[in-house]
Amino acid sequence: MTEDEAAELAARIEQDLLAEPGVSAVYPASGAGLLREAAANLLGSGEAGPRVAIRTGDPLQIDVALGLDQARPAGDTARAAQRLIRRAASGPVQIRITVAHLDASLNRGSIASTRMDP
Amino acid sequence: MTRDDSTGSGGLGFEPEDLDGHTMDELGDYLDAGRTPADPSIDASPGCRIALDALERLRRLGPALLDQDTAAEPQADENWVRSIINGIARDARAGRRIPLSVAEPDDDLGITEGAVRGLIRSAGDAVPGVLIGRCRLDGDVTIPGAPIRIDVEASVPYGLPIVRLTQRLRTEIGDRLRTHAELNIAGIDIVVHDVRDLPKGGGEER
Repeated sequence: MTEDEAAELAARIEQDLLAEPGVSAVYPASGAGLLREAAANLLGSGEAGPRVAIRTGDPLQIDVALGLDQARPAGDTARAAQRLIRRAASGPVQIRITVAHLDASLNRGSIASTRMDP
Repeated sequence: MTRDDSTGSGGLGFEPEDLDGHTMDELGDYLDAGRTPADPSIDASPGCRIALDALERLRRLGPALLDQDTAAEPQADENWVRSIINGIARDARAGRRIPLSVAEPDDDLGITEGAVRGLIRSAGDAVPGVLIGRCRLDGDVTIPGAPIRIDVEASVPYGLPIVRLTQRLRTEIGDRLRTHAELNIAGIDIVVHDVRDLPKGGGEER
């Protein structure tokens, strides 16, 4: 796989992940990715490249960091993301998924209905 | 951030009190501005997002809480709100990586300790007026099945039964951890660190 093909695959996986129920964000998968985004923002280019990190080779190594909502168990969403990546890679692959943030905002509706009398 | 950060940003040379290059004051200003204009360097940082969640929670308890801290009892607990904010910054860091089960042995799924601490803090949302301060996962979370104790410090409102509040908080924390983190929870210890007047406003609608 060429670097261009890897970048294309990374972009496709990122898009698919964001469409997966329970996934609220895809974060830069590495410190280098975070730094690259910061530099792109400073330069105003906004072209930091995909957040999914892919290292070409056999097997392909794919690394993602996710933000999830709490509507579904984090483990279930992470495993669904893993299956999605396996399908997209369609070949030998080693996947590393890190849940980096659980978004509490979806719970706010239920918070409002919760009360406790003295 | 530490070496076992989820996003590997530990090597960026940021100051230890920063979250991916942002201070808590900057994050507070960002909230004040309604997160506009969007700051991609904040929005792209899980640590900043966890800290923003916690700061929002603190603010939902109402401005009275801040007034109370600065005016009414400054000597009682030095600066309680500041200590909470410092705790948020510390707890939002990714920390250790907690494994999630996966069938394929070559794959590696996990959740950061920072995300789990954020989850624990969110349990305070379900108990009116309760604010979770420091929380700690005691045990080797990197080993599947290892017994883990959760240590939480909480602030509770005056006038509500502390035992009931802590029981409910313990239940909420346990439920959330069982749902989202595949940990072997050996116990949840809650220390009520502070009892304060229930602020008027934000706290009542929770």
